[in-house]
Parts: sequence; C-alpha cells; structure tokens
Amino acid sequence: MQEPSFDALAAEAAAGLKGDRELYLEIKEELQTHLEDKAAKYASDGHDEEESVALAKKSFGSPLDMAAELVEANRGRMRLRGLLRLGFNALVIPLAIVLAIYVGYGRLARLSWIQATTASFVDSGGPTKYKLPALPFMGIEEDPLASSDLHQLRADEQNAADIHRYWEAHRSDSDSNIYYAYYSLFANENTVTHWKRARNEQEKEELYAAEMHHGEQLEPQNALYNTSLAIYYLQKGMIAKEERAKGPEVPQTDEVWNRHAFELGIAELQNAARKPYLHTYQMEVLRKKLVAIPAPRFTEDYLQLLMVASSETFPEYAKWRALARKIPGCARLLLAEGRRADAEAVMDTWKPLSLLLMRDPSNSTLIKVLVARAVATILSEKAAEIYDRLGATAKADEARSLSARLEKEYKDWKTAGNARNDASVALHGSIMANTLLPVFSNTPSTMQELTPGRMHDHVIAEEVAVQIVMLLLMLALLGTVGLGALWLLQMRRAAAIPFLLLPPAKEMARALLLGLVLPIVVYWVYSRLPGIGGREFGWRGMWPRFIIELGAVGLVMIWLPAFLIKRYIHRRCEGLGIALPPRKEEWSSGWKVYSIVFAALLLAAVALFFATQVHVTFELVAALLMAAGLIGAASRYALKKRREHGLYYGTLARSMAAVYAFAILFLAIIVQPWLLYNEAQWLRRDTICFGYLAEKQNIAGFTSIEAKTVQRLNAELLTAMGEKP
Amino acid sequence: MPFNTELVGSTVELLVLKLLAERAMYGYEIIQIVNERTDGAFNWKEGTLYPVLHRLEGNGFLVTEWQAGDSGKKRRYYKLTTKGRGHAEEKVAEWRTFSGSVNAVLCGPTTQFGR
Repeated sequence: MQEPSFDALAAEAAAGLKGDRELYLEIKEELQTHLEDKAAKYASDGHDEEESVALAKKSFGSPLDMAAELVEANRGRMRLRGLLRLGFNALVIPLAIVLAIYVGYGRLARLSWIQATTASFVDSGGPTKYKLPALPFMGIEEDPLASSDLHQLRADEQNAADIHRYWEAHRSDSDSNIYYAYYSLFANENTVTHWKRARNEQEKEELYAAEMHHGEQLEPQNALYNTSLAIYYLQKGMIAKEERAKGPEVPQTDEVWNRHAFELGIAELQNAARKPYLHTYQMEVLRKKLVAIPAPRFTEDYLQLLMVASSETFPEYAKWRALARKIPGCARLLLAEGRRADAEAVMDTWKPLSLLLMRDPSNSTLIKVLVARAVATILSEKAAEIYDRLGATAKADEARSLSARLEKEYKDWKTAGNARNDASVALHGSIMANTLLPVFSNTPSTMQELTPGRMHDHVIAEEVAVQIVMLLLMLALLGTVGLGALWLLQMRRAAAIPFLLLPPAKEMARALLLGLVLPIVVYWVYSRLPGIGGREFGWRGMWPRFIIELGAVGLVMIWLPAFLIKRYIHRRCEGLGIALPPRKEEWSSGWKVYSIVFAALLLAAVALFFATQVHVTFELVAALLMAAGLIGAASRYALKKRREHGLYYGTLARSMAAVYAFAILFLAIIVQPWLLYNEAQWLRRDTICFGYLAEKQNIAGFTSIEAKTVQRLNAELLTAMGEKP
Repeated sequence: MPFNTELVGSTVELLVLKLLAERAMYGYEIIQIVNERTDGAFNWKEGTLYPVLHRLEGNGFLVTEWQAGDSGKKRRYYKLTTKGRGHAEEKVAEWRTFSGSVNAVLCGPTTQFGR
C-alpha cells in the first residue's frame, strides 16, 4: 500500500482542523484508515495494489470539498475545546500554582507574624522582627493591640511617648490601678519618656518618685509602689556583696554609693513591709491582652497566646531577685555603721515581704511560685545569719526553721513523682504534654484529657505531609509545563511540536479518585482504627512508622494519578498516530527522567522545609533554581536521546500538567481545609495544653494542669511559712 | 438510479443513527452496510458520511473510541450515547410519520383511483 499518498490526502481533507491539533490528528488518522480499508476492499475484489490505491483515492473525491464540510461539521466543538484549553492554561494551572503557594506562604506568614507580634509584647525594645506581608483571608491581624485603650499595655520603647501621653490623660480612670501596676513594673529610663527631658539626676529621681507616689495614691494598701521605689533607691544607693561579679579582682564587699538614696530605700522597704497586700495585676493585664487578640483557631494562635502569657511573667523577676540580695546587704551595712536597731528593722522586713510576694494574686504560674519560694528561701537563710550577728536568737531560730521547712517542701515536691502518670503521659500524651511532664508528674490526667493533644499532633504532621505533597505536585506541574515549553522551543519540525491533551472528565475523575481520594480515605480509616492505627508516641518505632506511612501515602498520591493519566495519554497518542517509543525504551528513558526529576523535587522540598527554619527567601529561590536546572538537564538529555519520539514525550509532559493542577486544587480546596478544621477541633478539646487559654477567663497558670499544680505548691509553701493558704 | 442529493442528505443522519443503535461501527463499515442493505442503491462517499458523524459527535449523540478489530487494525468506532439513543428514536418516529404521510398522498384515496 502507498500509505504516504493516503496520508497526504487525509491531511489535505483534515487541513481545516489544524487549529485543534488533537482533532486534526484524530480525523486525519480516521480518514487514512478509511482509505486503507477501501483500497483493501478493491484489492480483495481482484484489483492490483496500484489500481486499488488509485480507485480508493478517486472515489474519495475532492479533499478540498471534504475539508470545507469537515470544518463546518466540527466548528462548534472546536470552539468549545479551544475555550476549554484556554481556560485550563489561563485559569486552572495558574490557580493551582497560586493556591499551592498561598497555602505554603500562609503558614510562613502566620509564623513570621506571630514572631513579630510576640516581640512587640516583650519589653526589651529589641530590633523589630521582619513580618511577611499578610495576604487576604489569612486571618492575620496586623497589630491586635493597636487600639488606643490598650496602648498603655505596650511598654516598648517605640511607643513610650504615646504611652506617656495616654497616662497624662487617663491616670485617674477607674481601672488605672491595673494599668499603673503594669506601668510601675516596666518603668525605666526607656519607658518613662519624660526622664529624657530631665536636666539632671535629681530631676529624674523626682519624676520617677512622683509617678510611683501617684500609683500609691490610686491604691494606698498595695505594697507594689513602695517596693518599686525601694528597689529604685537601693539600686542607686548601694551594692550588696551578693550582687558583685565574682572574681579575685572584684572586692566582695557591701558598699554605700549614695547616702540619700540609701536612706530613702530603707524607708520605702519598711513602708512596703507594712502594707497589707501586694498586687502586680499581671494576670489582669494578661487577660486584657488576651481578650484583645482575635479568638484562637489554629496551633499558631495558641502558641502566640502562650508566648504572650509567658512574656507577661518575666519583667518583675529582676526586681524580686534584686530585693532578695539588697535586704541582707542593707542590714549588714547598717550593722557595720553601728545602727543595730535599724539593721534589725530592715531585716524584719524579710518575712512580710516574702509573704506579700507569695500571696500576690498574680502568682499563678509555676515559675512565679518558684521565684517567690526562692526569694523567701534566700531571705530566710540570710536573715538567720544577720539575726545571729545581732544576737536575736529567737528570730534567727525562726528564720532557720522556716528556711529548712521551705527547702523540705520544695524538695518533696520536686522529688515526689507519679511513675504511673509519667508512663501514661509518655505513651498517650502529646508532644506538648510530654514537655510539661515534670509539671504533670504529680497531677494525674485521664486518657480523655490526653487524647485530643495527641490527635492534634498527628493532624499537624498530616498537614505538613499534605503541604509537602502539594509542593512536590506544584514543582511537578511547573516541571511538566517547562518541559512542554522546552520541547516546543527545541523541536524544529512543526509536526513534532507537542500539544495539550486534556483528559476527559471521566478519566480525570478516575485518576483523582483512585490516586488521591482512595489513598487518603484508606489512610484516614487505617490511622484512626483503634489497635491497628494506634497513634501513641510511646510505641517503639512510632515516629519511623509514622514517617513511612505518610511517605507511602504521599508517594502514592504523587505517582498513581500521574501513572493513570500517563496510561491514558499513551493510549490516546496511539490513536492519534503519534510515533510511540517501544515500551521497553520508553520505560527505561522515562524511568531515568523521572528518577532525576523526582530527586530534584525531593531535594527542593527538603531545602524548602529547612528554609522555613532559616531564611525562606534565598533557600526557596535556590531550591527552585536547582530543581529547574536539574529538570532542564534531564529534559535535554531525554530529548537528545529520543528525538524521534519528541512529539510523544512533549505531549506527555504538557498533558500531565492537567492531573497535577487538579490534584493541587483537590488538596488545597478540600483536603487542607478539612485538616485545618480537624486541627481546630482537637485544639479546642485539648483542655490540658491549649483549650484552657481559649477561654481567656480566670487564667491561673498557662495550662489547666499548671494551675492545679501551682495551687497545690503555693498552699504547701504557705503552710511551711506557718500561714493559712 | 442516482438519487437527488438533497433527498440522500436528509436521510443520512437517520440511517446512521439507526445502524449505530444496533452496535458500535466505524465509518467505512457503515458505508459498507448501507450499501449492502440497499443492494447498492445507496453508495455513500466519505464526504457524505463523515461530516454527519462529526456533527452528531459534536452534539453529544455519539462517542468514539479507537479499537482494534479482528485483523488487529485500529479503527475509530462510533457508539450511541444515551442522548443519541433518544435522538435516534425521535428521528425514526419522525421519519415514519413523514414517510407515512408522503405515501398516503402518493397512494391517494383507494376508492377513487381503484375504480
């Protein structure tokens, strides 16, 4: 048979359909087969080959007339298919890429926002953290505490002027005691801006004293302002030997620097010890801050609340530590000057001040209770020493006895564990619960309390797995689009230019159902089955097993849909008369290309994963460039080796983009939101670590388990001091 | 006897639908069967059949699939969709009414001419 002549005739008849490459090839192939069948019929009727071909061609009629008829008959669907391709190229692929980036970027932006916001709560006035710009619908509030009512809760240097203006206007408001207590804790040369305007040290001192006395007027029974003034004056007036840096060249002595400040400090110390209570209002301030922050939904939100809560407890530690060192120093200095009565009076402040600190209603976190205990222990030990020198034996014995009891209570609390509870938390608890294990040890928790945290951890791991799969799919999508473009540029013959074969809806649905939905459903059911799926971290090999499980599901999700669509495209190319490589060669060449591409994508993913921990911009760009370079090299290799099958490989690459795009859309629109919903649900139910903060009311301790522990420890320490809890 | 082109054209769609209602067929096969069943009276050209097939396919009445026949050669088979089956039934019913009416006129009232 003279097939080339049939080919030319069929091509001429189908020429009007060239605008739709797939349709053109298909109709041309159909007409060519028709002509071959016809010639075969003539041959079977007794004509020789040449006659048969000639008769078949003759009976075909004018190819030009046929071309016009075919264009007319196919006009409608050509337009529709053209629109579909345009929509796919212009909408589906960009949407898939944008969504994949949005999901990944969203998480990074939230993390950077939380870092920056947290930094703004910490009062060190450190460098401003860089924030990634928020995109719409990310649920990111630029500055949750920017409203004027809360301005006074932000004591960082940048806002010092505003804060002070606010104070001038609102210093006598009904709830000013809360804000003023907070102000007193943070007041220093950075925050009390008008100090900078003071002409000399004297003026500076007067301004600070005026601020503290104003606080005392607001709440005369609160020891906070006298304590703050005492520490301020004593820091100016003296140094205790315990405060000096250690070293042979540093004289380990107590020393008065400023007599005036020293005397004022001693007076304020005694004033403070006479007050009935100390209230720092830190929990009230924390509550106000937490209420101002949008309701928590995801892990980052809860972590932010935790960070805000923890930042709220630090500032006053330095003051209490200084106090614990100054009081014995003061007493020793007074003793050395022969002022025995004054020395005894100063030392007598140790117990009332320790008790004031222990009874501070804001003393509701473990670290604060431990600081109060440490202050009381240090003071009692030093007091015993000073009382001995003063000859006040009864007082010395009492101080020694209280010191021993405090120490014993603390040691008992520290060493008394609950092995059964420890084992239960290790096996059934979340990562966070296990971090809190020392606190947990004496405070048993039930399975019902522990399970949500553990499930939350697993959902987080699943989210990360889905994000990695989405990233790989996005890189695969970009890779296939790039490969198609590369072939388009490099193949010189027009006939070998690849085109987009859009799989029909049925094929696409099958690939997505079998390749994505089914693995996810199977994994979901398997991972939640009691016994088989067990999610206990304490199980031996749990993490490797978890990584293997998620890795296997991820690989199936990347490979299976692509495999199914590739099979369809192969079949379709066969129908369109596109030269196909022998199966063995195709497999071998394809395997090489995929291995290189997959390795590149994997490297890029790993690089990106670490980039989120280091600095995203450079590593992301580097990872993408690396992946693009490797894919480019792989494609050049494949093209060079298999040039005669360029149309097949190019078309395959270009058409695979469809399945990757739809897979990304499926994961971004259905799977990811579903996981986020699960994350929010488990967080809400995790009463041990997170759910407690969500209530934002009656906060005692960062977590419920801490609150229980703190309550008990505080009561034990007060009992040790001979007080009623 | 060669038929009027318009007359042939108006029946191609009907006959194609009717044949495909029996089973899936490829283009050349349809031409052959029509030729056999009409004892060579209908000898369709490619230009007659394929535009009709493609129009029906474009309208969703037919779907196609490349299949290997007995000889192993791959051909493009046309198959009726559910929509196409309904359309075929409508067309056949329409033709029956139409041809009945034409025949009624051609045959005339038997009482007048018969006598």
